[in-house]
Amino acid sequence: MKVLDLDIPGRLWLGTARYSSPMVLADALAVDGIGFVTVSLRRQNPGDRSGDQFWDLVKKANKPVLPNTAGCHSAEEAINLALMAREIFATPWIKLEVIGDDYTLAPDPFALVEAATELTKQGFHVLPYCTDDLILGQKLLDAGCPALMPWGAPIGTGGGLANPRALAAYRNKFHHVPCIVDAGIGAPSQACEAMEMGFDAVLLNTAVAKAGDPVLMAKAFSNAIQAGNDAYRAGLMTPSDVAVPSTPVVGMPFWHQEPV
Amino acid sequence: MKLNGSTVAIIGAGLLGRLFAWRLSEAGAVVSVFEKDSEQANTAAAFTAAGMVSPLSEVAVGGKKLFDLGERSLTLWQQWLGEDAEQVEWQANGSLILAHGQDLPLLQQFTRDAEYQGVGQDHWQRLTPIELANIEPQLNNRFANAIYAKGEAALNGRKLLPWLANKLSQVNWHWSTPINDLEALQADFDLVIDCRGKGAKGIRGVRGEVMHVHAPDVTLKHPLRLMHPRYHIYVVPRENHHFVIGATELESEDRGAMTVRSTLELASALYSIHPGFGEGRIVEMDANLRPATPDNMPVVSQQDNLLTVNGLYRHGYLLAPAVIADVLSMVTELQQPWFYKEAL
Repeated sequence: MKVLDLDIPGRLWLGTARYSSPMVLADALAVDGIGFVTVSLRRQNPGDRSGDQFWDLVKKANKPVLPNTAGCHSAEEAINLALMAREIFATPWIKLEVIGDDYTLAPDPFALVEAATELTKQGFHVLPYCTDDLILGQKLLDAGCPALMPWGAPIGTGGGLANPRALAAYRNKFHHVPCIVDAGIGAPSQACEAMEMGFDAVLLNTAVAKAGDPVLMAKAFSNAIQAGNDAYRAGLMTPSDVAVPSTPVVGMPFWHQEPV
Repeated sequence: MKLNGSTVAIIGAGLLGRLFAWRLSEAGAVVSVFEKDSEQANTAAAFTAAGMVSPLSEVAVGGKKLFDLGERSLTLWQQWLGEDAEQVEWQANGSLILAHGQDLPLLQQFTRDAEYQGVGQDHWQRLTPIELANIEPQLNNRFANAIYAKGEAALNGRKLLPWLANKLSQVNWHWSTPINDLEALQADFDLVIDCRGKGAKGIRGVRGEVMHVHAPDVTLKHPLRLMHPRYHIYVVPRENHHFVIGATELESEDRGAMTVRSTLELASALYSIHPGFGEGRIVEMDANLRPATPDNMPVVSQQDNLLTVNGLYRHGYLLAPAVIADVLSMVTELQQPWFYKEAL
């Protein structure tokens, strides 16, 4: 898939937090089908380069890196962190996250638009983590975002697609831009469901990082996402309320049918 | 090689260095320890660690291999300390794993992870609120979700480390003596053990922060682990209503003072366990670096008569005795432990 002119090697976008060791993380990142790899600068004192050993491991995975502004509560904070991230990772890409409230970790739509506008002006390619509100999506596109990342469910809940109808409407309205379901995905079946709806990718972290075997779980997600994407491109059948036999019954002798 | 009568140089007087000195002396070796800092500097990670020996609490992230090393260490600590256990505040009457109501999924995940790693329910006991109140009276009515990990232990590293240095009078302690020429040392001694921790090649530091609190209103008899979405938070009771709470875990080699945010996170965890902590005094804040390998597992490697032992990470007190026992049988019986690697 592509966002702007960047080829992204896969549709499973993976976060890098909460793995049991850097080696497990590196092994998970080596799984087929992984696209952007997100990194959070917030808690690692990036200013003094003291976490360089960890960043080097992430860079070695040879995936496009998507720094994020996780943990920011205002547009100003997010903009500052994005500027720092651009310096450290030498990339104009940023996953914009501005949290509106600490209990639900819900995105703050107003601060998002403000920060996206400013960061785009400064040359960033902003991928916003947002709610599934259609008007917000439109305003973010107006601000210059090249793709949208509506939530599946609140961060870390593993709840799956909390509002599939809203996401279907979202996909439908923004059919012309890449849309990625971000956060709340707990099981491969949920990621597959998002892909069947036509989303371009799924971004997740905890479900893989905290699995008993994170590498195997990354494979499971990658396969499910591939399946969902194949199914969407193949064209899903339309469900029907009544049974429709898949073989013609016209030629069947009447005494072979169940009594009516 | 035989340990009895052989000369051994140990580099680094942290937990591993001192325990090696102890065990090798007991085996009849002539031991010299070289430490770059002074005896009073106390810079080793082991001075910051809370001193938990908790195999079950760590199994979810460390896996079965770590759990097994930890179980063996529990036994070895008891054997080695024997009647001196009290001197280092050794307590082995189990620990409690607690979760607040809204963190219940974390506790469920924890037990599921332990079972996934092959450590089944016979290793712990789910507690009803009444059972919890019997084991830890001051937690009465505070936690509906608790697990009792029988046999888990803790000790006070700040007592153990000086105790070892004082007790081992036959060891030649060379304080403030950094080692730059390994080869010269290898020529002078039968065996050289390098346990310098952070700073070795291939080892990264992982920042951890702890707080020491004096809370006269709080009495706890067991070390606690509180489920938290980001950290492994332990509260270890020490003598006279002193408590150590830690630790944060940050992929950073910054050894600077504790941050406001970490202080808030640890303090609010503490306060949420018992309001009596609210009036407690913060006696000290400490930050240090854990020496870690890329897979966060311990490692031993060998080049001629030089052994390098490192990477005990968050698990110094949990792993050190078993790691040392395995390394010593590697020396005497040429059995390589699973954490042997060609090079660090």
